[in-house]
Amino acid sequence: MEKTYYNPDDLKKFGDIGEFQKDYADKFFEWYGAVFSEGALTEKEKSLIALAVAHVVQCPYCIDAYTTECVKNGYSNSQMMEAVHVGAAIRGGATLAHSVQMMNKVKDISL
Amino acid sequence: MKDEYHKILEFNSDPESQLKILEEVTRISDRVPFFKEKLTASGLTEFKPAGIQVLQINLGNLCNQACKHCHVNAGPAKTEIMDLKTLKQCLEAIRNHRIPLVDITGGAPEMNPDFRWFVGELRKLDKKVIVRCNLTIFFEGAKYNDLPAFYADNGLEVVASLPFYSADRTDNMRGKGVFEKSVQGLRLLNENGYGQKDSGLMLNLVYNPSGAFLSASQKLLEDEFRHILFDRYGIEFNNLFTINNMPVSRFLDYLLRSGNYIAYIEHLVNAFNPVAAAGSGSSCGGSIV
Ligand code: SF4
Repeated sequence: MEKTYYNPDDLKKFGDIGEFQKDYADKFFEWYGAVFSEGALTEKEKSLIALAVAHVVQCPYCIDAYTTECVKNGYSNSQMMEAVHVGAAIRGGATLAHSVQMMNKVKDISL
Repeated sequence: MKDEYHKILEFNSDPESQLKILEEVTRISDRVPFFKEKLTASGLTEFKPAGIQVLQINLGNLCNQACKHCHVNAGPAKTEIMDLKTLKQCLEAIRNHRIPLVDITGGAPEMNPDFRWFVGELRKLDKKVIVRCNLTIFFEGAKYNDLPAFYADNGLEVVASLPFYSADRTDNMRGKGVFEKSVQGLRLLNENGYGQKDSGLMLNLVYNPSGAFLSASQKLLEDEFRHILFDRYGIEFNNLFTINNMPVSRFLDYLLRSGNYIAYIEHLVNAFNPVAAAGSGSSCGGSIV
C-alpha cells in the first residue's frame, strides 16, 4: 500500500487505466486526443486552458503535465500565472455568487 | 517531478562514464526500451551508411559563451582546437570523397585561427558550406566584427542558435545579455542580406528547449518566432529548426543535479517518431561528424 495518496510516478500509468475497463478507456483516450488537437482553438491555447482548469480541479497530475506543456509551448511564467488567476477568480466568484442564495434565504426567514 | 537517481549516478565528464550513466537508465526504468527495439517495433532496420553527403567538422571547443546545456562542454577557457594539419586532411577527404556539403561547428568555429582560411579553401573546391553561429561572437572584438560580411561574401549558409524569442529564457540558458546581443547579431545578418527575399543567403535559426522538457512542434514555434522577432525587432529569417537537447555533457549534468534525468529520458524515448527515424536513416546515413 502506498504511503501517500498521490505518487508522481502514477502519472506515467494514466495510460494503463484500460487494464480494468478497456472499452471505456479507449473511448476516453480517443476523445481526449481529439479534444486537445487543433480545432477552432490551437493546441497551444488549449494547453493554457487545461493548466487553469487543472488548478481549479486541483489535480496534481494535470498541473504537472500541463505546466510542462505550457512551458514547452512558449507561454511565459506571467502568462501561466495569469491563467491560474483566471481559474481562481472564477472559482472565487462562483462561491461568492452563491452568497446571493444565502442572502435570499436570510431575507426569506427573517421578520 | 524529481528523481533520486542523482544520488547514485554521479556526473563525470569523461565519455565512458557518461555512456555508463546512459546505459544505467534502461536498468532503472522499465519505460526505456533500447533504440534498436523501438526500430524493430516500427518495422525499421538499423541505420546503414549510405554514402557521404555531409561532413560536419567541429573546429574546437573554444567558445565565447559557456551555455548551461552545451553538449560539447565548450567555453572561453577550452583549448582543444583543430590544428591546420588536421584541417588540411579534412580538405583532402572532402576532395577525394566528393563530399558536397560541409557543416562547420564548434565551440564558436570562428575562434579557430584557421577558420577563414578553411572557408576560402572550401570555396575554391566549390563546396556548399554551413556555419553554426552563436550570434554573440560578432561582438567579441574587432577581429570578429566583420564576420556577417565575410559570411555573405563567401555565400555561407548560417545556422544560428536562438533558444527562445524572449530574454529570460535565452539568458537563463546562455548567459546574461546574450539575448540582446543575439538580436543585434541577427540584425547585422539581415543588413548583410541574410534571410532577405531573393538574396540567396540563408539564415536558419535553431530553437532548443531551455530546460528538462522537449520541443513543441516546429511549425508552431517557427510561426511564433517569425511573428514575434519581426514585430518586436524587425528581424527576418528563413527557417526555424527545433531540436531537443542531448542528454550528454553539461546537459546531462544538469539533468542529474536537478533530479530530472529519468523523467527526461522517458519523455525522450516516448517521443520516438518512426517517420523521423525512417528519415534520419536516409539523412544521417549520409553524414559524418
Ligand atoms: S554557444 Fe554553442 S558551443 Fe558555445 S557554449 Fe553555447 S552551446 Fe556550446
